Amino acid sequence: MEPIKVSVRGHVIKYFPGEQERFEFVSEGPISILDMLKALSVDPLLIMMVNVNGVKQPKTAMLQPGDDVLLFSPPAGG
Amino acid sequence: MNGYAGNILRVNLTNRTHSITPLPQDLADNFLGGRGFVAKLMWDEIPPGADPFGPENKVIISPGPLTGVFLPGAGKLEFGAKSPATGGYGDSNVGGHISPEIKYAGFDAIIIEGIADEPVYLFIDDFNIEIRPAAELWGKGALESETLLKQDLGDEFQIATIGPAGENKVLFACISHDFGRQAGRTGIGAVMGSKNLKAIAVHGTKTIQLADPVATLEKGKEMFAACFEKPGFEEWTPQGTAGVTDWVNEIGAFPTRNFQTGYFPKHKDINGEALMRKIKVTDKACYSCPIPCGKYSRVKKAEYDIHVEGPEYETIALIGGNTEIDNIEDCAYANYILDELGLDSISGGNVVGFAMECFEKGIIKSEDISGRSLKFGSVEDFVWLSQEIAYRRGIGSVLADGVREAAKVFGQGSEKFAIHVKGVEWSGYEARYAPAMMLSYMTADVGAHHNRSWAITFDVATGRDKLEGKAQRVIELQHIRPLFDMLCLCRLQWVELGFELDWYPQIFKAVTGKELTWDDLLAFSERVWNLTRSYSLREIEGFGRSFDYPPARFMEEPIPDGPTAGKYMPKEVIDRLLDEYYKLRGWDNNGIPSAAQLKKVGLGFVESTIAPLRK
Repeated sequence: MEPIKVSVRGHVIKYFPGEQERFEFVSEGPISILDMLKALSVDPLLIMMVNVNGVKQPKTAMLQPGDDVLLFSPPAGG
Repeated sequence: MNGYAGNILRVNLTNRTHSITPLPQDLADNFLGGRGFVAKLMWDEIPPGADPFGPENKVIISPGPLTGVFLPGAGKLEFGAKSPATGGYGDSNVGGHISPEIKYAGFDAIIIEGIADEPVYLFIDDFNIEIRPAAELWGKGALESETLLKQDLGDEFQIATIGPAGENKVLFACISHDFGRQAGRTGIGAVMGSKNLKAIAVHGTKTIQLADPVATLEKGKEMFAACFEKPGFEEWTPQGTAGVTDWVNEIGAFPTRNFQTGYFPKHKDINGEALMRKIKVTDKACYSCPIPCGKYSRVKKAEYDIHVEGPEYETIALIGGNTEIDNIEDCAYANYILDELGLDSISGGNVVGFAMECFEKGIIKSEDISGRSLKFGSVEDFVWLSQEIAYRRGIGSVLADGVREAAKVFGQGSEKFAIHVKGVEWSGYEARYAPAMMLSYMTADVGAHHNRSWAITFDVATGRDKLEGKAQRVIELQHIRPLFDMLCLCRLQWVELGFELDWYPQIFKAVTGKELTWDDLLAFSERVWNLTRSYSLREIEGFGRSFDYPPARFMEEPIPDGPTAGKYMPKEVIDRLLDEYYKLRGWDNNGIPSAAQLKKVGLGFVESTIAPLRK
């Protein structure tokens, strides 16, 4: 099964396993972004925005093996 | 002295004299610069009990040791004075381009004292210092005054001005620079106004001596390259801080209707995408910054045609959500009005929102405001009241002293929803379900401001029902973030792009020659945190724990709707947070540093002042 390629951007990296900016997530099949974050023990509310294969998606969107996922931190306003 | 310009400029407006003296080595060695210099000079030079609007108060301006160097974000400037809003410690910083200019003119600090007998501006061209007449500028807007001074002096001069609000000593008057950047908080613009000081114009041509120019250049290049390579650059830059608007609503922390609730249903009409789509003209950056957070906008409607920098997130939150102005064009217009009047948009949005709630509750009546209305959602009412405040007309004169003082006048329970700490209004995060963020606001040394500790993602990550570890994290952030204000570097490269904190001692060594670890630098910041606390203890009668509580609304009223519906933070929870915070800080139960703590952080010289305050 081809892994999902995940990139985390900004300061919430420290709340991800291993504090890695980039890692691969293996899923047995399609999985929602919300469920992937839960599997990583990351509160989905920490993520401000998600891009999948370069397109902005809601956190309820389903991921397929091989997808490129970008997870964005909220900026510190002002 | 490597990294420093090497001089302090002192200007006395009363007798129109100035002097230039060498920067004391021990000041640089012990307080670094920027906020550190401001705090130490305030402690030493402003007499205890000074009237914030009297000649003995001083406006202290300081760039830092990294200002003006080839580094991303090396352009912050710190302003300080005894705050007319808090009665205690006050500082505020600004970006733009003036900080390096002050350093290139040869100064690590400017101390302005006395009161001019007529409106003046301070002219600085290297060591050519003049106090020039400013009668023609007096009464003009902050943006207009900057334009006029640029036309007169040339674009190479960097300008800081006040607007009519500063002239009229509004307690949340700001200092404006670069057509839309503000040192907004704690009312230092009003202190400038009290001195009849309309503006400061600076041009410098000197160089900064570096300990290791090659290492500085190499590290600087590495940091610039990282800005473009770090994940987040391309996504963060287009909207700047406005991009956070939707997320703050998603977590139920968006100030809405004078902090009655934490969710604004129309947030998508005022968010970063709306800004980009409808009004943004271009990005706008500060000195030496490759990640421009500023957005320069234009709105042209039948009623107005304006250019404005912004609105950035805080302005969107406090104008948009807090007064329910539900479209980005009108938010930008209200932003422009506040900028021109010289009013801090965070406090301005708070004060107008407070007044709108007072009107809604019948505390302010139509007959009190010439038969007109003051309704949430009305940009006309927002603009009208802002002008009344700036010129201290009618009820505007009461509101010009901020929500704390206005609530004392209005009474009828309005104290409960006067949203401030220590007399400074709350910035853009409703915190009834965010204990670390709540504690950050409660204990910030300048009042309810987010830039001392922005802990809301920590709340979400570690659980908003849990209190464990929150006080410790707030303290860590209260040392990290103000350290940037001592070095006078923008913190956004760290916050938004994830710059490694270890880079900062490396560049500090290259610039100054001083080999310090990151923890060493944080120790300076802890010293200053205890000094600013001591300053407010010295200046404000009865200062202590009671000044660290949030408004009653947050302790008594559950949030009525949205993602955080039903949440509030009872006083016993607030007390648990404060108890842990004071204990970890080495302060007593009333928030007074112990003698041992003062000695530990190198503040033995304040002990004789603080000792009598302990019970």
